[in-house]
Amino acid sequence: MNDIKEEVSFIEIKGLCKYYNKKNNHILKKSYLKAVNNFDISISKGEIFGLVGESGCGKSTLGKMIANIVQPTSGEIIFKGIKTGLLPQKEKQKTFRKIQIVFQDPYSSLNPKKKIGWILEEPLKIHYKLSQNERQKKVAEILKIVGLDNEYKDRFPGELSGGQRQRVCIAAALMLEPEVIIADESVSALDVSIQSQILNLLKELQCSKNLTYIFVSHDLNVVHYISDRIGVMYMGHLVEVGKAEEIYLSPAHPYTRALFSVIPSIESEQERKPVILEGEVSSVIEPVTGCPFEPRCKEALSVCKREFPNKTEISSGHYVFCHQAEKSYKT
Amino acid sequence: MKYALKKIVTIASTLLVISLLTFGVFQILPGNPVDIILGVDADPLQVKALTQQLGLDLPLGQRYISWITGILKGDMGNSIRYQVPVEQLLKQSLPVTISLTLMSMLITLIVVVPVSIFLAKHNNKKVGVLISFIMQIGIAIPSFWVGILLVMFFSVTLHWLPSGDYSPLSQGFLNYIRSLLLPSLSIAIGSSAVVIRYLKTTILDNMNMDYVRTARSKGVARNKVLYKHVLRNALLPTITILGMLIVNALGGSIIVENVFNLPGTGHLVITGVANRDFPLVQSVVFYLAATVVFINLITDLLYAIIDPRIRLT
Amino acid sequence: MLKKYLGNKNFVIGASLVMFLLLLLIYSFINLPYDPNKMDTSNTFLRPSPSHIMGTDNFGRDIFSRILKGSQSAFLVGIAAVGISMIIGVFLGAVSGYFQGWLDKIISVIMDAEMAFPGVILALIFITVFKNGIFNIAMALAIMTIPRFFRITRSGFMQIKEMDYIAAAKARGASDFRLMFLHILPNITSSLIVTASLGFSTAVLSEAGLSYLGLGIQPPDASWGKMLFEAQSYLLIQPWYAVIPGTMITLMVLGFNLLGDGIRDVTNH
Repeated sequence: MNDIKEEVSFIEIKGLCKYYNKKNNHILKKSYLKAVNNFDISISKGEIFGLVGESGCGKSTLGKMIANIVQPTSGEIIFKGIKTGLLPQKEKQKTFRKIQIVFQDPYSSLNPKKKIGWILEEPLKIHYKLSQNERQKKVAEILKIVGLDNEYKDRFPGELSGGQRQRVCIAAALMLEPEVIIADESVSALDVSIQSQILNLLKELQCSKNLTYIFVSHDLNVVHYISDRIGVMYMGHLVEVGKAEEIYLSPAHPYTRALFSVIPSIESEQERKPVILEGEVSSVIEPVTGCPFEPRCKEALSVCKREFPNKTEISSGHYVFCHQAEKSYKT
Repeated sequence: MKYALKKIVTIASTLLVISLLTFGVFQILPGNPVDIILGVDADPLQVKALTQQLGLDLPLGQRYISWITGILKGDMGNSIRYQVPVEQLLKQSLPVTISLTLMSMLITLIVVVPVSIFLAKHNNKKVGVLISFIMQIGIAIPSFWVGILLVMFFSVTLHWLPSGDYSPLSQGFLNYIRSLLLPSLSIAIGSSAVVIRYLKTTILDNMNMDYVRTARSKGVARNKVLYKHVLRNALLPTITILGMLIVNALGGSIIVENVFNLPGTGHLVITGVANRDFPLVQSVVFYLAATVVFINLITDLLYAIIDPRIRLT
Repeated sequence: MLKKYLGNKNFVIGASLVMFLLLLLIYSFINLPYDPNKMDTSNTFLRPSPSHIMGTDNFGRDIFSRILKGSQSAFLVGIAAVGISMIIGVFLGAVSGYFQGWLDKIISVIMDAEMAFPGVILALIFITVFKNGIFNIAMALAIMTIPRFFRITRSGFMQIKEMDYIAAAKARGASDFRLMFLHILPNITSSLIVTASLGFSTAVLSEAGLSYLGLGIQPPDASWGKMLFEAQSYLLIQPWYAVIPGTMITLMVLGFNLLGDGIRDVTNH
């Protein structure tokens, strides 16, 4: 099994791609919707990694690939040193069981016809040989951890509020004692007051269980609040990654700067001038040479249209994909 | 155009499956059809002759091919019962069924539009609810019972209309219509009920749409909106209904022809089934199914021509 | 919950009719006034009287008893047809809708081809080949009803398969079988009940038609359709003989139609 194991970080994503076939593909000229394009990232154990970008940039798809819900078109997902792509089906499913996902919509992530208790007990029934008593004890335990009373196990999802349902979803994700949780816009559909409750719950859980999070969101404040590191995605590409505070205070990529410039903020020291993006979003479908952000970039150079930017290290752990940065920070 | 081609391919494969199913079912006969027809103790020469006549000594695949090519050429073999070519019987019966179908469709169309509009207007009032309920009865009522009741009332009691038998066009138009009137009504009552329910809902749906509100706010009178805009949009799915109507009428005619003793295609099939006349039933059934498929094809194509959105899917 | 159902006119009328018919059915097992097949040629065409509530027919048989017996055949055929077609149709629809691919395409083409046959014809073919008899009729009607269950199950499965809760259960290790029958199926039961109710009424109507044509239930067993056929010859002498079985058929079809519509109204709001 020597080629499967490698000495790398906890989660290593290499060249991950997800292409969808276009609807009206000509026989000769095939074109694809490149939802995720050549994505590289390393995530350490116990880290909270925030993934931001606008709607349609591919962050959800990326999250789902890491959770093994969507199959990558190419690239590798290396989890705990194991090249998951090379595993046989059964082994693969077993490995990915340690990576669980919490979805955005609390109303479609719970089966309306099943009681909460049944939903939570199910993974235990499938994987472990426990008695009913033992299972119910475990369910009560987990419900307590997410802040719900044990009597909730007899209720149906329809009887719960959005916040309560999201707690149940988190509980369900915890049933198999995962090591990684993908939070796919998990608080985006909640009221702001509930959002902070859930975020704090997630933070507590991360501490107590040493979980690793990949926190996908389009809400910059939320991501900034919870993440250790932030990755910025644009049209399927990673454009910038670094420590949360650094990205927030000194974003290097023009897109990141535009994103963070428009959030009302009490903390920031400098006066931010809102950067309004103009130009058209280049289609994710058309083949793109050069930087994908070029059409909307105010600081675009001629090279930006021709060549895809290389990875430039601005400071320790802070990387950006931009020709401007390349010029200023010649590594 | 691409849509039409796609449709034709679908139709062809459907027809193929239908022909296979129809043919296949008749081959699973428990027991030898020859024995069933002639009896177990029949004269061996007769058995051999009938076997050859029915083509049962040939392998299965060949039988299927010869049957299919026969149908396409118009040769469907001979009816066992009547000892005449099946397509001759079919030809004789078609005018009756077509007349019946057309007449019942005509009655349905005349009734459906005004009643649907009325129901849409008076949807929540007592009158509307009452008539809707009557429609429900119309859907539930067996067509052959309607036929019997109509005969009871119009023939036996009032002596206005004949209680059966077909009077062909050649023997006078009035008698032709009179002989078809009660049967057509029997079918039309059921069909109308179904279509009215559908059309009323479509009209109501359209009335609630934004474009109607826009027109009304521009000052267009209620009725004008109804007739000019809504009806046109509501009639589009009605083309689908038309297809449904024809199929319903075809199906309904099978039984109704028996109630009134009309020598149509439906009656032909029933007699064939009762006599276990396999060549007859096999071919006529396929013919009827193919007709239904073609009607659906034409309906879909018409729909696509009128509504360009369909073509793009 | 129950209040919603009781507030729906369709449901209330439909359920009442169905209950009435069920009561008749139960009564037919407990206490048939006469042997429905017993002929009494000295007492033919009797008018309704205390001893024969609906009179007697051309063979002197008590009409009321025959009506009661007929309800047994109607329910039997209806339940058998719907039961068999539900099991087969739902299974095929589930497999088709969940796995899709070439299997789905093949089964769908066959189902579409089957739907192209005007219902009665399909039953006719079956009966030509296999002769009549109550089991064969039920089978023929079942085959006619399968596409309904197939379609509704398939579309339901295709829709629900994409829901987040299915992906979540899958991520927690649920097998395909478990997902299909423990997760997805419970979410389509209300549409299945509606389809069953409407399928039942169609089956009853078709059976009546077949019996009327002499291709259905054979004498001496009683069937409302067959009684209608017999009544047709005696319209002059005994007009009410034609009215009663027809009314029964209509009531049964109407009842289950309204019941199905009512349930559909409530579960779709």
